Amino acid sequence: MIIMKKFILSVIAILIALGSGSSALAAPSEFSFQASMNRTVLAVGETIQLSLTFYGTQSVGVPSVPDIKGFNLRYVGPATRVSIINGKVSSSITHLFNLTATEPGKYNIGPFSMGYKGDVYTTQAIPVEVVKGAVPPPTVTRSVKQLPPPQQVNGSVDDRVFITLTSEKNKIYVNEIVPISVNLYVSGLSMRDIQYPQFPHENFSVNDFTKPSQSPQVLKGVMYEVLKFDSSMYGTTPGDFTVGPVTIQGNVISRAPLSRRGSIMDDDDFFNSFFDRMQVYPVSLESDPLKITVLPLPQENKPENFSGAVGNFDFDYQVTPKKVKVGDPVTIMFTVKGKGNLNSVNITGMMDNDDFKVYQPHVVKQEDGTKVFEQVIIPKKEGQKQLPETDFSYFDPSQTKYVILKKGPLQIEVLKPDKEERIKIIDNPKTSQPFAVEEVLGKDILYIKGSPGNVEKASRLPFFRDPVYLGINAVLLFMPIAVFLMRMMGDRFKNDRVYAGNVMASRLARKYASQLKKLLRSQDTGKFYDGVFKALQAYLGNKFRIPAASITSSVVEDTLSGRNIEPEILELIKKVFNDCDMARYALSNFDRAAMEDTYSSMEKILRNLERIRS
Amino acid sequence: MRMVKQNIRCLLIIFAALLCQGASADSVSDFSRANEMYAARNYDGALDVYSGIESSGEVSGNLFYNIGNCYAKKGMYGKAIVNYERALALSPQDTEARANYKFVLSEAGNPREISPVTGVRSYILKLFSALTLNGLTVTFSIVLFILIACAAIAAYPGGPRQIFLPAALVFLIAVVISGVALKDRIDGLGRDAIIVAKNVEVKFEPFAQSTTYFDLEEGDKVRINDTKDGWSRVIRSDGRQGWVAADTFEII
Repeated sequence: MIIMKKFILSVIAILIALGSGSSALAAPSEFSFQASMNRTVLAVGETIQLSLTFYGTQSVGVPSVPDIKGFNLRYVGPATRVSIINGKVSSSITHLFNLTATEPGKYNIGPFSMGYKGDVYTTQAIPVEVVKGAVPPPTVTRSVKQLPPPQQVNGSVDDRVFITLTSEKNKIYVNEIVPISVNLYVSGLSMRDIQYPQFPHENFSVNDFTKPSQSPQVLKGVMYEVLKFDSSMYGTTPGDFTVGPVTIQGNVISRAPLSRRGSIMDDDDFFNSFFDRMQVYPVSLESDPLKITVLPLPQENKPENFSGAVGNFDFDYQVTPKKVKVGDPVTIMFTVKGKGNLNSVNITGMMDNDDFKVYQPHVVKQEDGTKVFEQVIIPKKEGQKQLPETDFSYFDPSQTKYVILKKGPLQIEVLKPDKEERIKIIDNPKTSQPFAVEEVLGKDILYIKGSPGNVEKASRLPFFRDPVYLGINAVLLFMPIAVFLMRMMGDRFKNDRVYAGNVMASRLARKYASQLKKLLRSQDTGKFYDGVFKALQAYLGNKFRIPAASITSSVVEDTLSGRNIEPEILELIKKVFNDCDMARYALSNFDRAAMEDTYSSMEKILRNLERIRS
Repeated sequence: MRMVKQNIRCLLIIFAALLCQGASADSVSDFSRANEMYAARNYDGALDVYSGIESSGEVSGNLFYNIGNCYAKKGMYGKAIVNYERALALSPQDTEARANYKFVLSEAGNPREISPVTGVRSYILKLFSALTLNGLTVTFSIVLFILIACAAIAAYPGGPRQIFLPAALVFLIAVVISGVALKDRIDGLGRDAIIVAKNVEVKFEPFAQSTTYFDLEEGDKVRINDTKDGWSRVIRSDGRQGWVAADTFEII
């Protein structure tokens, strides 16, 4: 069990050390030392927590705390914290002690002193009351709606989270700005999803709340984290009014202890709190209302042109340019600067007269305590012109009197317009015509065409159905294929001798067959057999790639044997060659019947040999 | 080589003869006369003369444009849309015809298309929208010819395959794209129609007593799928089909 505790404490120590290391990067801030308790009333046997917090540093060791009468003191450990609020970095270290009450009575915890960098810092003393039996419930002055179940939140929630609404003054004049602030106090709890304050403010005009600031604050010996929302408001009607109450919505995060039975750490407060689990409860916090009296502005000594400005202001009056031509615009600037209600600041401006065409003044800037009005005037006549004295009056609530500020008069020089230049009428775009009028265009069909254009026959077929077009397409599309095939055949004829011989033999066969048929018809026996002999020689020579002149009847068998020629055809070839030889010497023996017989033999030979692949 | 040049010259002359034809003197005269009637706001008279030219078999984009204008002026937006569609089919780059077409469409309440074309197909159709049907056919033929030539050269042993094989692939894609566009045009040829009557009832069966399935508005574009006894089966943009009387629409 001891080993287990040591292990867990080591892990926590490492985490704290890591937190401390990261805070070293934070810029140092002002040092302070505060003591706080999480409760100030407790029963005998209960434990409260004493926090000794050092702001502006994290390099402070465990302070030595003397024994406190009526309490058992035990050091729990350090807790470091780095916060960045509105870009400002602050760091702190809190050393936590558990005080367990042993005797009833009223005690003062502290004051505690600590030396840091040569200075001694001392906290205030915290009064604590220890009672017998149960702790009485505290007096509730503020309400917290939708509270978490009481058994899940230690102590009274009203004391640990509440809001206040305060104003600097409770008695103000009409239009007088008064700062107000809403403070959210949180102790021993965490809040998140905090919404901006809301409150009823009839008869008052309220500005938006600024971004809240966060700071620690000790109240009645209890340390609170305070979230401060600042704003300002002014009364619009005299009378006694109530402002608020202010409400703030948010979620409270509270520890709910886990139900553990027989745990090894049941007897240790530190581990009891360590193993608590967090629960979120929505809350609606409500402050006490604020009573404000709004006084009417005094009628006594009220200036004639007073327009309602309340505060403390300065006034300026300028004109640019100071040298212009007739018809050119001149701008007058009225600047009101100071503390107070700028919404109530107004000026009359220059009035229309014979020398100037005058436009209404308008606000061009209202921020950071400054309100600027601009008025455009156009000189009508040349010469030295004077812009009259102008004044601005306001009521100063701090002095309870009206103040009148006067400026001017101002001089400007108005020159003649150029000869060619006529007087320009310039309209101030902000006062006269702020938006361009959109031109409305007419809509209709465009006019007819003047000529028929490209005329076509309606009856003409579209190209994809036109036989002429399709024929041309077929030819064109076949051309590349034809060229490709011819080139392929030509290449083969060049490179493949067998193929070339066969092709040539076939061509010769067809050629000689045609010629022999003519000779047969003419019955010229000599020429016929001479032709048969040459045709057979040429055909066999090309077909079997042998010299044609060497082929005779005597060598036919030797030359053509072994070339897959049927014996009958081989005999027929020999016979035709013999007939040709005989015809040379005994021409009279060959009549037409013999010639036809030779021709048919020749046809049979060629037909058979064409089927043979040589 | 000289023979090849002569052949190509002949083919070009034939193409030119196929593409170009002039208007007859009568047509030109009638066209001017109809224009004068239009200028005098005699739209019915102008329509008669323009229709006479159309009946004579001589048509042009300008003729259909002027007919469309006459109908638009008469407030007959369905017939105007048909004629602007015809004008654009013959002269797709006529910006005036396109402007009037859009104006009349908006006046007619932006009637429905046959089927809204989306995705890649819409890009393809847009790519070739500036071409007439014949122009698209010629484009397809040229691209196909180049594809076959490139493929033949690439397939030839020892040929410059490194250049012509990628070129063949490119032209294969071009053939597919132009083929898609051409098919779309051919599919609609003689079948796409515009409703020219107001509030046309589309029936389940091809006779007047049949139950009405849905209605079509003047200017709606439909595709004719079948014709029977003076009734035509049409399909509209959402795919629904039904029968309408043949005199309620005009083929583009």
